[in-house]
Amino acid sequence: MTRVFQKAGSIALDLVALFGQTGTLFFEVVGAIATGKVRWGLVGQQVVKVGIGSQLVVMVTGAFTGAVFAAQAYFKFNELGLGSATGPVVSVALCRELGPVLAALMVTSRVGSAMTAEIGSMRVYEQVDALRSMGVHPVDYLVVPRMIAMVISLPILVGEAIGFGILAADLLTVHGFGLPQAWFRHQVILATSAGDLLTGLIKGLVFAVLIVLICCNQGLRTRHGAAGVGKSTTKAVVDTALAILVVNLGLTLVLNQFLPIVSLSL
Amino acid sequence: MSEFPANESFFSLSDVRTRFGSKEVLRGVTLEIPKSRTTVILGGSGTGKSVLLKHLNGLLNPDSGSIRVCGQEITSLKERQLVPVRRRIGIMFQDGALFDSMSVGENVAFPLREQGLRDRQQIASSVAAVLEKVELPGEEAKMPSALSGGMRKRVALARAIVSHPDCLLCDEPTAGLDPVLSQRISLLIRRMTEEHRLTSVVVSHDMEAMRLIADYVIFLQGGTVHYSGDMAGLEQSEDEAIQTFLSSKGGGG
Repeated sequence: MTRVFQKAGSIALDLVALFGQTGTLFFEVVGAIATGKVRWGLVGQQVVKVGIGSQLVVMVTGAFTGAVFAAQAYFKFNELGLGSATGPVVSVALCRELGPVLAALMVTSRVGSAMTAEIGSMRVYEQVDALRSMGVHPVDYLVVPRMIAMVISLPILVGEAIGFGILAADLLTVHGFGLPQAWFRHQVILATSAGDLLTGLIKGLVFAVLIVLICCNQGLRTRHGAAGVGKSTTKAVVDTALAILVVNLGLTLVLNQFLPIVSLSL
Repeated sequence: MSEFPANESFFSLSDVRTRFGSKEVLRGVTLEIPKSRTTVILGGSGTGKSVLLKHLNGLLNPDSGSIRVCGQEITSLKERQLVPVRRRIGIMFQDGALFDSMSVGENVAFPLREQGLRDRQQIASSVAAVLEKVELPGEEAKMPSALSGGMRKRVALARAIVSHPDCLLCDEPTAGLDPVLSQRISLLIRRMTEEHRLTSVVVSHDMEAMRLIADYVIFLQGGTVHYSGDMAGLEQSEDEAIQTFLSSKGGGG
């Protein structure tokens, strides 16, 4: 029993430390951006790594999620004579939940892990100390460019995931299941509001900040050589994925107050 | 045991204590490091030499005690306030700490760019000149992964001195090198110190190499200073810890 309490206490302390560290890092990043300590050349490099480099994985994720979701929805709805509801359900779900969450999870695994591993390696091989010794603040050089690049890129990637998801759902239900294309598109346009898309983009923005804060913080706190880099990378990916899922629920509840789902009239 | 005159000190440390977890690594270190001389900090593994070196430019902050750089107290300074102090001090890390994603030329040019130099020709000529000094002429395009251990150390030395600092800190500059390369690096540090009139602080446990460059010696044992003075005095010391260290390094004679 004591061990259970010890474990629970240890997890609680880890969580408090994580909140404290990422909160501090957030204010350091905001302070650096506010005082103009932005290296635009590095931002450009990171946009290429984060944004352009993640295109394929996000498009494929969006497309296959949209197609699979459309197939499952169509199978059930069609039994009830509601095949035309497939488009709106897929579209709203992709805009509000699946697009932002899955794009963020894919970017975490592809880019967030690389951020932690790269910064973690720099930390254990004294390159972060080398930066500091040359009068360069590690947050300015390593975190700020990644943050700006991610904040620019992830909402765009979310938009692409949503777009490719709806396109794949369109192709499957129209060409695979024979639903009239005009019907599908009409229902999608009718049921999907700007608020749905905006919800997805806002979530993308928040997830971008979460990914960079958690992954860079973990990288900067890496210790104990190559094994430490591995541990840090795993922890960063797991913490970020969990944070995305938990924060997503909060965002859903809050954003739905301001940007509610429009009524469906099929 | 001799002391250095305080008015000629580049670094002054008083009762510096640092603890990592339950281990107290520095246990009340008080010392003076003179200007325009090469001071060697000797000691066995785990005695706190590298930790002490990283306190000198604020990379580590002590739990208590005072560290003054040219009279300025640095322990109370925040990271951004340390920038002017750090720009006066070049540091050569044990494994070079070269940036893997940059070429040799970009690594050496890094401090110049960070200090606001934008003229590409001027940067290129400064980089070429300093690489020539460390006996690596024309190696600007190579990547760090293509360099040998000795070459990495020389590039690190070039990066440390390219912006003409007042002080050079070297962490184990001869570690992992054969005796010939060790001697070559040591003599290079000596030459750079003299040419640039630097205050050099070298951390090492390599007695043979350090004999070539040391003006003053500080011997650390168990996180405290056991000796400060010249090399001859160290070798004549009857302190048991020093005798044990010297005999283990074959330097007792």
